[in-house]
Amino acid sequence: MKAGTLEIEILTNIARLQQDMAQVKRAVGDTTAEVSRKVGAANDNLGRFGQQATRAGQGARLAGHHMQNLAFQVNDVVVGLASGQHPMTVFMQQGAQIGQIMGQAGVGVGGMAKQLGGMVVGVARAHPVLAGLATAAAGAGGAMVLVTRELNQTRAAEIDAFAQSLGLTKAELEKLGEVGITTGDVFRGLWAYISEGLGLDRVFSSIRNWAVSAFDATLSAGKIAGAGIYAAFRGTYDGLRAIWPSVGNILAEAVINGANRAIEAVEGLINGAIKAINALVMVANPLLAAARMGGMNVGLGAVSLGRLSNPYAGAGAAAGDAFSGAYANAFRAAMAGMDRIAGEIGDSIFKAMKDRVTREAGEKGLLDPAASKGAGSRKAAGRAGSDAGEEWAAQFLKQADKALAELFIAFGTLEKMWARAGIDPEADIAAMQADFRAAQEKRTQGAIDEAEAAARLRDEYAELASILGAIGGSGGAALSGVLNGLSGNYAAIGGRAGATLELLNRSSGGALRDLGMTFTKSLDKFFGGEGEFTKAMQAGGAGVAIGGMVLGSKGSNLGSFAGGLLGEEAGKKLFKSLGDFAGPVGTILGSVLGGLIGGAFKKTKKASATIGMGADGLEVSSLTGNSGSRKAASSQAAGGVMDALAAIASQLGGELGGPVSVSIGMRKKSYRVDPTGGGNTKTSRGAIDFGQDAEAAIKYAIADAIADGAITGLSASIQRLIQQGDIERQLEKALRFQGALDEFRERTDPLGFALDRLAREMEQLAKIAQEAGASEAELAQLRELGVLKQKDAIEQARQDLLSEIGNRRALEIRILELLGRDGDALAASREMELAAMEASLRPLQQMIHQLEDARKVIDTFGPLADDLRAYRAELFSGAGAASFGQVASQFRSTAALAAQGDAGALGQLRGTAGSFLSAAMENAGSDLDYRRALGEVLASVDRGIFAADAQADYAQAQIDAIERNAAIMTSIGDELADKLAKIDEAAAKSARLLERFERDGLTVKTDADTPLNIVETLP
Amino acid sequence: MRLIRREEVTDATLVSSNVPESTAGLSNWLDVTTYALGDLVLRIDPSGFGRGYLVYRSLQAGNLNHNPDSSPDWWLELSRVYEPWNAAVTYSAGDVVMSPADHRLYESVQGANANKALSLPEWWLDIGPTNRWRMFDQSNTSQTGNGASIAVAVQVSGRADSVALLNIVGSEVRIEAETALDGVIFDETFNLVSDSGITNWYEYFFEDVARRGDFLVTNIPLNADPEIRVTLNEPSGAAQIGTLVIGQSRDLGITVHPARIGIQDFSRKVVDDFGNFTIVQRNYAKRADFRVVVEEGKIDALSALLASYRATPVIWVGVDQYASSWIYGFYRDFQFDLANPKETYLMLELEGLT
Repeated sequence: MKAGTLEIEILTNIARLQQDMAQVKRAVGDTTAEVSRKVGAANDNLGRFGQQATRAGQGARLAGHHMQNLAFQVNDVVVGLASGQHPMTVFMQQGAQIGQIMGQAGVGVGGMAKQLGGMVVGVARAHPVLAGLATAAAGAGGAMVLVTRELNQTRAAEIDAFAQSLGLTKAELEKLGEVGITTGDVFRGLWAYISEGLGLDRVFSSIRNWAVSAFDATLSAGKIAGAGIYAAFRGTYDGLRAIWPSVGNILAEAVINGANRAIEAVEGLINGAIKAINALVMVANPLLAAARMGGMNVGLGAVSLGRLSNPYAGAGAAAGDAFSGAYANAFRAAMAGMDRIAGEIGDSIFKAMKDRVTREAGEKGLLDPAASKGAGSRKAAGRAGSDAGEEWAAQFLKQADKALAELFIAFGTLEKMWARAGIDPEADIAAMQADFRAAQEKRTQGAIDEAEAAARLRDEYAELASILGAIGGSGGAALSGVLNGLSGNYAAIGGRAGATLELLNRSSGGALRDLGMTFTKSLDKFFGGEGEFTKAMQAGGAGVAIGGMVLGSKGSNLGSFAGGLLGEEAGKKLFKSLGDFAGPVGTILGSVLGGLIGGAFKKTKKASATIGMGADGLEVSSLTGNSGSRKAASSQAAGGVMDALAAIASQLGGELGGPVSVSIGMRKKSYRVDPTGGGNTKTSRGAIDFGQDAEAAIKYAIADAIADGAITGLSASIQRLIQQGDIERQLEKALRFQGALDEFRERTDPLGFALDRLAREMEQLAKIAQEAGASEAELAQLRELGVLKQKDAIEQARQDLLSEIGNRRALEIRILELLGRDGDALAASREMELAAMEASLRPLQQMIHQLEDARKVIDTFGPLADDLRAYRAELFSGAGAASFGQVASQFRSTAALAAQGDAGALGQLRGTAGSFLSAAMENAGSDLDYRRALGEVLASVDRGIFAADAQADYAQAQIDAIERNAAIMTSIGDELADKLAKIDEAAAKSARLLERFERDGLTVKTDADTPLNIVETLP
Repeated sequence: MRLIRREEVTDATLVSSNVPESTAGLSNWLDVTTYALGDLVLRIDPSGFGRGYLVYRSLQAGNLNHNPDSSPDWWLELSRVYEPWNAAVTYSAGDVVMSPADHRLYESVQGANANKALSLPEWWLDIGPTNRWRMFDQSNTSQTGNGASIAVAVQVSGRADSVALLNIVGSEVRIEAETALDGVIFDETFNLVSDSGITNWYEYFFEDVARRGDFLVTNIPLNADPEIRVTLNEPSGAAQIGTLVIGQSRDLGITVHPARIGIQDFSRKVVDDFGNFTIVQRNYAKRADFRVVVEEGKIDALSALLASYRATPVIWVGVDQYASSWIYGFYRDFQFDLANPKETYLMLELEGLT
């Protein structure tokens, strides 16, 4: 039980209390000022209680927004129930969302186990398959055992018919064995029903049939627990409603009772899962061993959750029956709903059974076409049998089924033997745990020793790097940098190369650092060729260049890398203009390319990158050449061209979408551009030589791409401008001209202009995010920002428009008023009011308008109706038995309402009683008759007085009870939070221990925040 | 003209009465019990009114397994009684209880009426005296009823020479007077068949036999402190008495013409503009205007006497022979008319109780 569940019930009850208090207030508010004052005090106290409850929830480690979400969710549940939906439907609809919210808060279905069952979480983390099982069990809520049993009973005839339809002989049938629905069939059918909704197909694919029994048992526990949880919610709700008239201390008892029911249900769920997992582990280990898969830990202890102390026990003895009845009804409804689900999945289950029987018949050779009486089924079985993989799986499942069944039988026998022999299995398991733990520690020690040795080696490298750095000189610096890189400390390399490596390291999520550490184990492999380091570099973006630079081709060595670094300065001079053109990234690229050029000095090489229009925009469609460094340079130059084109298109408001065909590359030391896009670098083949003027080459390539029509969405005039003459001058002209056009559009179509500009801005941001390798969450935030800015732009445009037309509209409204068309004037005024309001507030304002209209109608017609009603009464006020009957009926009706605390009736009681007595005086046959009427009036007045007093006393009693509850709940919340913290601590410790066991041979994390006490026993 | 001053009957002076007052001391009839002659049993009133019981008296000895509801030869229904109020009982609306303290009946006005004092009008409605005591209240309309007979004995403190029985149903009445010193001083039985209006043989034979609704005896010897016993018999049903007045009479004078007697009807009769009547029948009271010749010398005594009985109900007997001139009530006004030295009249305006 967690405090969050209490919070749910508390919040539900608060909502109910506030609603009823509002009714009380309405009922008695008009009667006396004293009652109103008391009710007001009640509401104030409720508010304080709500704050205390929220604090209790926060104290229970649930974030405020999670509680808020839960409150909304619970509100949905309450609204659903109040609107007459079937409770089970509401629970099934809202339960999943509640689970999601609890999951966000870290206390979801899996998280709940984490919070409460420290043992479960360890196994669940180590075996996500089991977590999937538990989730499926709790989510689906089907009762596997019951379903199996019921299907075998209710569908026996259908099963037999199916067996007969296979056309088997009696002997064949006997050979096939009993045709019935096994748990496996049920499982497969159930899975077909729920797998899509739960999205656990992938997880399930790794489950073997030996998991079926565990799932079976877990489902049984899940069904009962699920029903219990539901009944605790629904039962509490109904129970409170049932006992509401006599609520007082009973309220406290009911709330705590409901909370304890929930605790009980959760405890049952956890222990059911623990039991199933224990059984699963025991029977699965031999199978896993046979399949050469690692074994699992075993022996989880049951969880015992404390119940809430209930000082109000017995306070609602009479109402207790009603409450228990409500709980029982809800429980039955939940069980019935789950059975209904089982019924719905029955067809799926039956189909699974058919498939299995068919398959088994095929495996046994019983469906040989030659001997077939049911050709269709046998053909299907034959096809299934022809699939070797499927056959293997079927054999495996079958064997596993059989082994599992035998093991379970053995396990059951063993339990009985234990019981007869007086053996304590828990003690044996504890001993087994101790042995297992010792063995694990022994095995793990090897991994620890290995990790420590690696750490020592890493330190030695770091120390060596430091010494080399102190030696000085380019060679020393290079060696020092490399060694630092090997230790994962790229920043220590220094210079732009170091910065680049560090940048790439960060962008690759630390992969470089990890790899560097890994390579410390095998230096020979590192220096030997293009290993994982290269791949990581490639993943980092500019990895191709860096990889080539550092490692070169196969067989390169440290010398080539050092040479690349030495050429850095030359490269900076050569590509200074490129660096300026491309901004900060260009600086980095400049340094990188510098390195490339440095490496390129060693031999004459050529390369060319051709730019084309791909599906996602501009791209390097081909990269040719015989030199890695030239290829890199060409690729970078092409990238510069593409970036420039993108920037130009953005500035001019166009898009990159037209045809492009241009190549830019290097031949020896010269930059070459092939306007045909043929990738030529020879001038004899049409390439244009720009010498070492990379900027000129890039400019030319840009102009050529523009001339090809790369930028679309521009006006013809802008297109003409940028396709003529010097690209820089023409661009300047185009920008000025486009600026004028933009200004005109901004004035004439401000909203469209703003939205277009926003779209471009967001597109650029999206590209930047893509480059930065932004996460999905960051991309979602970016999209949300776009939507918000779009709303702002629309709102601004609307406000501007309103301010323009507002003055004229005001004059029109005034004219309408002067013309006496008040209705039209009011409508126009409201229209303006709504238009000037934020869209989200308009529905509320419209509701206010409607209420104002309704109030006006009431104010107008209410007095008229009252007057007519009084006149009607006058018409019937004459003497006579008929009128006396009417007066008496009216009086008794009013008296009955007054006795129930109806404020209106209480106010009318005196008047109607007077009329009644007057009529009685007129019509009584004797004084006794009149005195009888008088006695009736006296009794009614007495009841009315009591009812009015009772309303006030009732409200005060509620306040007192709630205050007592609040104090108790606060203390319970504190206590619960403390217990949960301890459970968390134990769970985390167990998880770390189990994690280490499962990662046998890997390093052991011993961070200071979560120390692992390896000698401590499992709780 | 005489008046009979009413002797107050209280618990102390009511020596005996054969009219049951409540269920106290009585048991429900059992079919396994053999009842003796005169034994009283209870049966729940089949009408269900007010949680009441009917009291039956065994008419024969050896009365075994004869259901009183259906055995008139064995049981005589006497009257309806109610349980004494009990604080521990929760009464429903309409339930009737009896108060031994004031001999009155109370009807529950509300349901869930538990431990609410009978003095709380919002819970209990006083519906009048118990059956035994109705003949002693100040209403001529409310009657004491009892199967076959009503027999009461009243101890008079002082003197009493008159017994008046008003609004009665019975065939004969026996009046007895006895003192401790003198023994029986008066014992007469009177047939209540009325001969009023029977003035010829035809009427004697063919008119329905009528009984007297009022009866008066004024000649009981004035022995001190007599115990007066009145027994009204009605063999064919329940004997009923509206008012029993025992007291000493005082002769005022001789009633002379003109005199007026009649009734005042309290019924409500309203007619609308179309001649449709709305009629609510209610009680009536006798009215009379008498002119009584008195001796001038008694003026002071009579004046003082009448003043002392202002707003006090007494029996006014205009003419002994005419029951219609008997009024149980009080005077509205009286005047002495000293017409001449030899003629003095007492002018009385009387109004009776309902």
